[in-house]
Amino acid sequence: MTSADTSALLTVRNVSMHFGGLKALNDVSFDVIKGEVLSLIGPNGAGKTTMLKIASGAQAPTTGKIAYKGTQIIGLSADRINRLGIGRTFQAAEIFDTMTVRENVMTGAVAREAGSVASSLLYWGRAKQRVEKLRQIADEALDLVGLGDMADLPAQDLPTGQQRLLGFARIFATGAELLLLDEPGGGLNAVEKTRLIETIRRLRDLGRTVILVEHDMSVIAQVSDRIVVLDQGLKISEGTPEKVKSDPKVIEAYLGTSASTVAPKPQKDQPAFRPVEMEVVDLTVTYGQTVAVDNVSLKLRTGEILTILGANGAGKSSLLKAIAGLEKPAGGTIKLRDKHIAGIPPDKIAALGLCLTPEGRALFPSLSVADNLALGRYVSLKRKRGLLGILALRQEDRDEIDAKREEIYQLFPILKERANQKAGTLSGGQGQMLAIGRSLMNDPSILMLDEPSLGLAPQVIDEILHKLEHLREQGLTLILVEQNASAALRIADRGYVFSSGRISMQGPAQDLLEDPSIRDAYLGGDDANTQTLRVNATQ
Amino acid sequence: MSDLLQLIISGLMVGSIYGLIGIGFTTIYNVTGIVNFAQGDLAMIGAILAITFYGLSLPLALAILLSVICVGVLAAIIERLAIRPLGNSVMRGIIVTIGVGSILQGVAISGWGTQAYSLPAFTSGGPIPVLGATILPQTFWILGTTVVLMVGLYLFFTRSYLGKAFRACAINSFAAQIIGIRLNNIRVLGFVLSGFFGAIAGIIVAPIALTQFDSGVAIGIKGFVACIIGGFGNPIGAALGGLILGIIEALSSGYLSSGFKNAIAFVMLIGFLVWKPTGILGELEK
Amino acid sequence: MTLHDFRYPAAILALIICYFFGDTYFISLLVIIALHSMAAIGLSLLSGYAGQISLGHAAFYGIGAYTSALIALHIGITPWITIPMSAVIAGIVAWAVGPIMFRLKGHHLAMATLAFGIIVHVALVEMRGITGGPNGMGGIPPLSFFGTPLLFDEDIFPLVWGVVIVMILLSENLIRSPHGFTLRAVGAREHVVPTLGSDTNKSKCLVLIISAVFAAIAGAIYGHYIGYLSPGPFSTTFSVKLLVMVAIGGFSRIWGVVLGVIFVTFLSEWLKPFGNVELLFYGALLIFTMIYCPNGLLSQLGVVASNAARNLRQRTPS
Repeated sequence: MTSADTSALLTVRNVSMHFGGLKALNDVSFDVIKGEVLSLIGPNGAGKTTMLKIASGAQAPTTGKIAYKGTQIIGLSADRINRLGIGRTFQAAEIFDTMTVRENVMTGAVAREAGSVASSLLYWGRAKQRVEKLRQIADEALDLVGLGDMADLPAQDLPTGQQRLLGFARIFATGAELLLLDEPGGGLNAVEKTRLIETIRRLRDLGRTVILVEHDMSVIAQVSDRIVVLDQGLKISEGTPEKVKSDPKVIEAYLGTSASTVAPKPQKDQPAFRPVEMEVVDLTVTYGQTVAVDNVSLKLRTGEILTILGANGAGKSSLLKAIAGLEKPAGGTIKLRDKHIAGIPPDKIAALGLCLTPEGRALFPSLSVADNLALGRYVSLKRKRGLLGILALRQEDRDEIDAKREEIYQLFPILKERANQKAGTLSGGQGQMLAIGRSLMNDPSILMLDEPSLGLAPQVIDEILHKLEHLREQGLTLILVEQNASAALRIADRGYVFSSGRISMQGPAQDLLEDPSIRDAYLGGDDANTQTLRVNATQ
Repeated sequence: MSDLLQLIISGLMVGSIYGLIGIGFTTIYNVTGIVNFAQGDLAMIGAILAITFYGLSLPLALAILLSVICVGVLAAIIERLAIRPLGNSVMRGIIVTIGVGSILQGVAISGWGTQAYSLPAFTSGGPIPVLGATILPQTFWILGTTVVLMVGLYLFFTRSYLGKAFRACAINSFAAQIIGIRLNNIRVLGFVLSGFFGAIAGIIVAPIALTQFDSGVAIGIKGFVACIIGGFGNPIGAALGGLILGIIEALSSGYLSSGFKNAIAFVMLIGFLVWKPTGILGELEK
Repeated sequence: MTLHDFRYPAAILALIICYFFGDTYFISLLVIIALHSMAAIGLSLLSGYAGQISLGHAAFYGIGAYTSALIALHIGITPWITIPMSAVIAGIVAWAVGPIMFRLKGHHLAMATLAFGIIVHVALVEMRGITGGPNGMGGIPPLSFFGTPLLFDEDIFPLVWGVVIVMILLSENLIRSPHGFTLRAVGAREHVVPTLGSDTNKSKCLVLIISAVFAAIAGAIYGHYIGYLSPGPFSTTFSVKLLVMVAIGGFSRIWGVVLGVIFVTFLSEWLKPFGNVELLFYGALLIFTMIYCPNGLLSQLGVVASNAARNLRQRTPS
């Protein structure tokens, strides 16, 4: 706040950002010291990207101040902030795909070297010199990130990892001193990550300051000078990587509370003897050139809760989406009982009794709770009556919906109280119950839940987990994708741990719960070898 | 006073047509993200088909019904052949629907030439005097049809299961897929509804305004203006916007110059786009 | 060395051949093509490179035509001066309208530009006292060269194509200049541009002004060449036709756009004997181009042709 601390390049003071009732950032303050790599970490929804957006001028905070070299930057336009010296990259590479690699980087330097319009139109000597200058800046930046050889290729031909590096070169070429990098490691393979780490180190060696938002803890561990940890909009820890990694508050934020009232599940029955309900073999899911799920094979047995754990970006959601038919797999098979379902459209998969309750709930906020539930029965009604048949429902169909809805109300009584309210007015926990209820309306045989605990208070999480156990007792098979590992493992029968799109560990939930190395999957392992060994041991 | 009443009545009548066209825009836009620049041309085709069927000595009601169905099918074909393969680019979407409009006009020219046609009034009888103004019987048909269609659409969206599924797609297409709604079904439904509304708008106005191959262009654009005034994507907004636009146009042609009447809609369009882009009622509630 | 390196000499050579060997009808078509090309090149910068759709570009063509004609008629200045004056006026209009328009994006921008075009058209029709309204205005003085009025197609041909070549040159310069990088970046991913320190609105307004100037010059020359103006040619239909030409030429390809203009103009000439099928044909062509040839019909045909040629070459030796 004061200019006494001359080493602080950027000072963030009491920044809050409210979206309606949600506090994406809550009174966050920290300093960025010139020449350091500061990592901003935290579980999903912690507010990291919001922080970057505010610091780069893409959004204005609700309250708070940010000063860069003593200049207040809140309220300035994004291009103005960049010219002051703050550059930002995006989660996606966001390259200009109509240009070559070099032209992309030259565009980054234009604001420094534009010149007059007349000289641009006539392309006289001055303009030529300027373009030559841009070219030099671009080539230097490309050499820095190691793309010098590819300068003349169309930028869209580069693989994802190199597109990210291109984004760095572009932002470097603007001359920005403070670089805000938003998840540069997402979707990169090991070799590309090594190059990423080298590049970030080189940027620091050249005197640039970096704020890094990243989910891959191994990257964070290797490049950070300091770390700031956010959780649900609050700063919960700050310090060196070692200090932060051993901070109990950080561990709890990542792995979930250990004070859960859900009792660990006794190993009473052996799920291994149950029939296989669904089998995934060598499944691969890609987005463009990014591999999200890499040759994954797993089995789901009837009547079990299978949990899939892993850090953000490990490929858990992509796996569920591929099973639900929302993403076409690039390879592999998915067998539901004896039917191959990979690549089948989502409505047909829903009709087979395989339902997804997606991350973020995906409700219809302006429809009532009762209507949201009723729509959960769309597939079977449409199959039975056809598109025109559901224009006006028959009495028997209405009775069927009412009966089914009554079952859901018994499971979640609060929904009955709220039946005529719009879904958008529900609290987070009620919304999650509605999302689960909507899936159950379709009489699923397998229910897949993606991050049901996200953003919920511990008691609410416990309540929902209890209901899931109850559903299992009634014969439902569940797949539970969770960041809150300790809570998930308490109710699960078996678990798989994902990292970088692959299965790094698997086993009975009880074993995983007691395994210390699971922490590494979330908070970054010091040596990856232990994980590999464990995979071998369990196979 | 009677002049004012006369102007307001004719404004309401024209405004109803704009509103119906505007609703056609919203049913497509909400589920596809496409602004259908051929919307007015669907109305023109509807009118011309009804006139032709009537000319084949079908009863008027049957001719109208047949024409509305044909335009609905036509809209579904347009979705399948021109819109679905397109992907997600605004510029290409606009150009393709302009292309569709051009084809529809071309078809009209090839089949019916450039001359103007008219449909007989739905009921015979001369103008009815009301409080010093005179009202054509067709005016009642236009206003009545509009009211019935609006109420019908409202009931469809709020009462019918299919209507709720349609809204679900407009609110969140990803969530709609999750519950097993096939988006392509609903997209086709959006086009068919849009075709119905367009055709009916074209047909009910045909007895009082001549229809020719390019009649659709002007009412199409005015229908869009109606959407912007009321709040884009919001069907009630489109209807309200249509009525407001119709009345303002009628008043300005009555009290100002009739020539500049044509510019008023567009001045309003730019004004709303720039200073109140969500329109009077706001965009569709998600 | 490819044809690309010799594109200017090749184009000029082709024009000279056309000039000396083409008949009057052919030459008159080429004059129209040149005028449309000027406007289309500007629109290609705006809609192709910078990605900002315009459905009202005919307005600038009309503003150019009417202001130049009116100044020449009423003040009696030579068209050689009134044409640049009209270009400046159109540029000022663009400068004033741009910041309002570019608060909008996508469909909204399309509709606002459409509305702008219609408003200007209505103004041309309704300001009877000045423009002559729907009846139009005649007696516009022609351009003259050392006392010889440029009345005939052959006379105006070198001038209009000279202007087209200059505009192509300017546009190509702009594209490879620093400003060009920014406007192409705006067309590719607009939201990234501010993070690189450039103001997107400034860039968009700049290219709108340039394209307005190009269109105004075309309109102004048109007025002095025809000698008579009525609002008809400056309607939305012409705006759409320009966009069609740009789309078929491949949006962001300056030379391709000129080929697009040539293609569309000749096509509509060839279709004339078949009656009113023009609209039908345009529509089908547009849809086909947008779905199957997003980089332009002609460049796609070029790709197909070169692939076929390669196949043929590979097959012959074996």
